[in-house]
Amino acid sequence: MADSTVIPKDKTELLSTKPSREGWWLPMLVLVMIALVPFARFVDAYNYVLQVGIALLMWVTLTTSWNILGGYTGYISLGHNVFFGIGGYTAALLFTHFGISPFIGSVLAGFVALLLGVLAGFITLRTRGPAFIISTIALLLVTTLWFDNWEFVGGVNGMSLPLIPLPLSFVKVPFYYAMLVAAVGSIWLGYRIAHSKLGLALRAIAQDEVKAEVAGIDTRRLKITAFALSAFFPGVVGAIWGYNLSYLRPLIFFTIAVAAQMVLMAIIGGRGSVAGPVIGAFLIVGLNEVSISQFGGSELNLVITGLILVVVLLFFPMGIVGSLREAGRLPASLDWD
Amino acid sequence: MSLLKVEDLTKSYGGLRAVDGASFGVQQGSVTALIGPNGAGKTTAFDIISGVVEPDAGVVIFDGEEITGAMPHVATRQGLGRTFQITRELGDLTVLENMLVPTIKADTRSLLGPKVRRDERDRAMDLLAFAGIDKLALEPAKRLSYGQRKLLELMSVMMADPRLVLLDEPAGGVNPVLIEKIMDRIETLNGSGVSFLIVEHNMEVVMRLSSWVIVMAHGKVLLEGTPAEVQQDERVLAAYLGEA
Repeated sequence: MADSTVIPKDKTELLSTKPSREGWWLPMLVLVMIALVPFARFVDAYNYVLQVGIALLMWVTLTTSWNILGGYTGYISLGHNVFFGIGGYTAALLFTHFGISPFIGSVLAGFVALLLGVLAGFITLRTRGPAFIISTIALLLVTTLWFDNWEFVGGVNGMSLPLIPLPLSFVKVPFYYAMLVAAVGSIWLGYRIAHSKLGLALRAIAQDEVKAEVAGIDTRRLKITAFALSAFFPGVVGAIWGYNLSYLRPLIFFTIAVAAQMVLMAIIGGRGSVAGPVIGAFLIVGLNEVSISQFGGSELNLVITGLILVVVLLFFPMGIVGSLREAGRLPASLDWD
Repeated sequence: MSLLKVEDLTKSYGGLRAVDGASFGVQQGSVTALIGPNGAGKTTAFDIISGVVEPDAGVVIFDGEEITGAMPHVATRQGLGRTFQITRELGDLTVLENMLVPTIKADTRSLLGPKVRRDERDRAMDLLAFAGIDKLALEPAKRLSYGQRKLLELMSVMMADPRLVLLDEPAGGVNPVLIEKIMDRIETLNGSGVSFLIVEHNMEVVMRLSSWVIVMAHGKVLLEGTPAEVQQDERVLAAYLGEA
């Protein structure tokens, strides 16, 4: 009987009330290296490297944010790019009509996305499971229709923004750092939630909602909270991304492929863990860039990416972080939970 | 004094009247048993009292306050805890985390505070030690045996400091050694002032623990009385044999 099991010695410290800081040097080192990339001005295709970095940090942010709802809470949203797009358009409108820089506007855009997240959560969270997924797709479709037909923001054709007034070789640097701040911010938020009672409550909800309710958790309120929090940073990076492209149209933001990408990255990396979405984003953005540079932007690149993903999921069915943890082989530097 | 009072509870599922105008009460400080044949409506009554199911009619009054149809967390926060017939531990969470879930308060400060506070952890470990499963604190709850899960569920309910606990078949499917342990723990907790309402088929458990027995059949209260009175009543046997 399991009664005889004793807590192994190296595990007793887990009973400690403070999260372990073991292995933290590695993520910190990576962070410093990422922060130093814009100083490598001698590399070929400098702006290309920064552009890939901007996209990578954006996906880290989007997936980490999605994970608050889709991972911790267990509610799979296929409409989370709504907040990404709304953030982009909010900042663009603030810029073109009031002259507010999108870097400042991005914070406001985050709060607009947050409020919209409360509203969207209020409606869609009346459902659960597959019905919830469909209701978030419906949210996306309604939003797409709205923006396709909203002439004030250019409808299907979209709207363009003035370019950032910087010399060409510096043009990507502010976007890079803005995305880095957003990525660090979203990881910090995810980490804080995972280590708080809110995170415990969300995980309880993901496991068994009735049990969580009976244990005294106001599940509805906390689910809406999770939805809203997971909408904030997508709004922020939407603003930065829109300005970076200097051009916004519904097709860039509101296709389901954007939402699917968040889900994919989170699942590959490890849904519900803090490090998983980050690893998933690195892996998929990296794979994409390598296969595009080797095989061009053809279908072949998609096939190769797809194949590698299938293989990864064969060996890591719970995502990289989830499966490594289950096997007791997760290195401390990747264990941020 | 009645800690819990239900009046005329009614709940139908399709054409089936699971609970059909049941009224009963639980005295402060007592261990009251709710017995009856399968399908008598005991678990549905539990679901209504704890807010998991909304009744078609009837009233639930806990400690003088009406809680009919309120969300389950409302009843829990007022001091009414429950366990499930088939345990519903949060399998991927550790045993210790399962214990900590009931400590989550509604206010923002508590929600954003650390997952484990030292005092809560000590309290949880004390209760787990009391149940004899403290060595499993860091195991995922799904690794526990069925009896251990029953103990975990009871102990995690205690974390919320309930005044009344509804236990749905605490001895069901549990080996005799653990049944003894579970009964012993319930008696100790009752001694410290917690009241219990227990659904149980094991008559030994019912007779030993309870001071008052309510018998349900076909969604109604058939009779109630002391364990000795109920044991001798012919209607009870008839109900169990399906003749009532």
